Amino acid sequence: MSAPLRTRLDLGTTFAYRAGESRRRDPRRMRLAAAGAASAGAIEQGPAGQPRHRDEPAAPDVPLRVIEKPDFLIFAVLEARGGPSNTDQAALAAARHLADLEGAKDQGAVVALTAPDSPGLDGAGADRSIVLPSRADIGFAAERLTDRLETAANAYRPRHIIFPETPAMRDVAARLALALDVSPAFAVHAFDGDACVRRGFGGAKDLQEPTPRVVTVMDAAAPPVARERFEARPLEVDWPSAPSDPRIEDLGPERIAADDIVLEEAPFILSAGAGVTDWDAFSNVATRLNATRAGTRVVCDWGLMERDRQVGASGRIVNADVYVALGISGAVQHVQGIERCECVVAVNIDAAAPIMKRADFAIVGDVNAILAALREKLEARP
Amino acid sequence: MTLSVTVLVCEGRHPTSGRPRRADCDARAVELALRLPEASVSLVHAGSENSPALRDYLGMGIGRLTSLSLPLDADPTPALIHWLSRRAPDVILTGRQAEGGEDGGFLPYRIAHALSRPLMPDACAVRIEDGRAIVTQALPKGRRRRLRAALPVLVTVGPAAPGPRQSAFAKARRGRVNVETVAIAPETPLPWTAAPAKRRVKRLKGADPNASAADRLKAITEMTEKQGDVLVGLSPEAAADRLLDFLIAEGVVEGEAPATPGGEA
Repeated sequence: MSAPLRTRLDLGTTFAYRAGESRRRDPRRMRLAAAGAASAGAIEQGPAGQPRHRDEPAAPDVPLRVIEKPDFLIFAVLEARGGPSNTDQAALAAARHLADLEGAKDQGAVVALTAPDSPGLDGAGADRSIVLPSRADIGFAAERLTDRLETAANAYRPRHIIFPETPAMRDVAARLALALDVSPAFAVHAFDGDACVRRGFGGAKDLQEPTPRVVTVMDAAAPPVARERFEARPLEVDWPSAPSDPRIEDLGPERIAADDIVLEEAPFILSAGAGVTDWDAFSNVATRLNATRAGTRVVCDWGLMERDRQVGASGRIVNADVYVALGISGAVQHVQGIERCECVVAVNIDAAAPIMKRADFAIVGDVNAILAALREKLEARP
Repeated sequence: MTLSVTVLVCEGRHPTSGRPRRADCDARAVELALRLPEASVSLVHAGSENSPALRDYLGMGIGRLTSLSLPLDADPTPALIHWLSRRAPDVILTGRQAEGGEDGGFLPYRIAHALSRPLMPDACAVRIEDGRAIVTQALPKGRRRRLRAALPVLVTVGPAAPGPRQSAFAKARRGRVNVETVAIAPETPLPWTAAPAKRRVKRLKGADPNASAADRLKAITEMTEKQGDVLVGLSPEAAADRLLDFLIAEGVVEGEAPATPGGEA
């Protein structure tokens, strides 16, 4: 391109710039270009609707590691169905760490205890696998699951049994520790060789002890599993035909209105910013979608939303699976509040708003018009 | 017939100031006990009887509290099991986790096991019907589940339970702390060694721990850009369609899944 060069100022050769090229980057123009402003409704990138938290299964070119004759076994009890979740992966990583201790004379093998149909174990670090016959996540199964795990533990005598630190798994871990008559360690947040570290005294102290037989581990307690492929060879267990009767009866889930869920726990949040003016439509849509309502600092300051629904650094830090930001530009303080959300959807008239950077799915348009259209559409649904 | 309810309480610590206070989950357990109709509620504490935090529980409207006097580092479990096996209350309530000690959360399980009672975890509501306890259990993501077991039971109370009533100063002054001396179990050496808490290492998402310092700094300071689909120039109706399709595909809204997730035009 032969743009004419001209000197800036007459003083000489200090600067030279090409005509037609601005020194200032126009962020809005760049974003619109990236969004494909020319073709209406074009999807530029990112597959929508895919689960985001699952790791890809290990590629076949990754070397396979076989531990033929392990000196000891380590159980990792997995909670999620359909592949290990983030917390399950933390348990597998901790098991891997204890199996491959640096400087240890003996080599361990990791046994993953899972529900039926759990893919992705080979990439997550499991040398062996045991399929538990009863579902761990259907109803209140703590007593039944404890029985199963006790049977498996008595059959294979693992050195450690590792659980992810979730309420349900900690419950099972405590019951299993009593059944095996050992003292467990809960919420382990770090390993130091074969010692584990957890918090105590109201979080003021670190308690270090040799890793006991039963532990629950927090996220990132051990370094993540290396990019290797493992066997995940199935092991057999003779399950007793008649498990003992549970003393606790499950009466099933209790439905509570989504709007009554505390913001930190809510799985689906519809959040309004200063861009929303049609509050009637907003509340209506939230009710019909069965979403928990929330707002930015601005709308709470204006008194349009209760203070305990404020999301952000000075409000609440939310953990939603899906967070819908309506008319929210995405100030830093607000984005901090939604840091832990799995999926963020943004509707905003400004394509250059910072929320668009955080969003997994964004719509550029007038939020009130879209809310009105959404309300009409939802009212038409049965 | 009155229902006998015993709440196990401990001395809590304020997370910021470190001052003694009633432990959060234990106070919620007292609140649930006070809401049970026709129940006689008693409080038991094992540890130092001079703790100012015990007065906070009395201030919730309970006349007396039993304190099993134990030295600072003693394991409270044997003393509690012994005391509870003599009284055999219908319902034992306690917080999910203590606040001032080892805080393992294992104590309720040991007690339930020793008294061979069913333990129902993480309650946020309790009801008694025909000699059976119906507990609403709080699950992650704001879900609830109801459990039922025949009395006697042990129920642990989590942070999702209703907040405790305010502690009244006059009631706290009037309440009495009965001190009971208990036989102290022979001391077993603690398996752990305590050190001041170190900051947890934050594992950087997407940053290789072996990468150069510059790369790691970049990973921390840069805003996480996810950059998913951006739809521009749609009519409000089409935008609403797409939004709804996306929410259905994500599984948070019930409805017929669109032919292609995300809704190809």
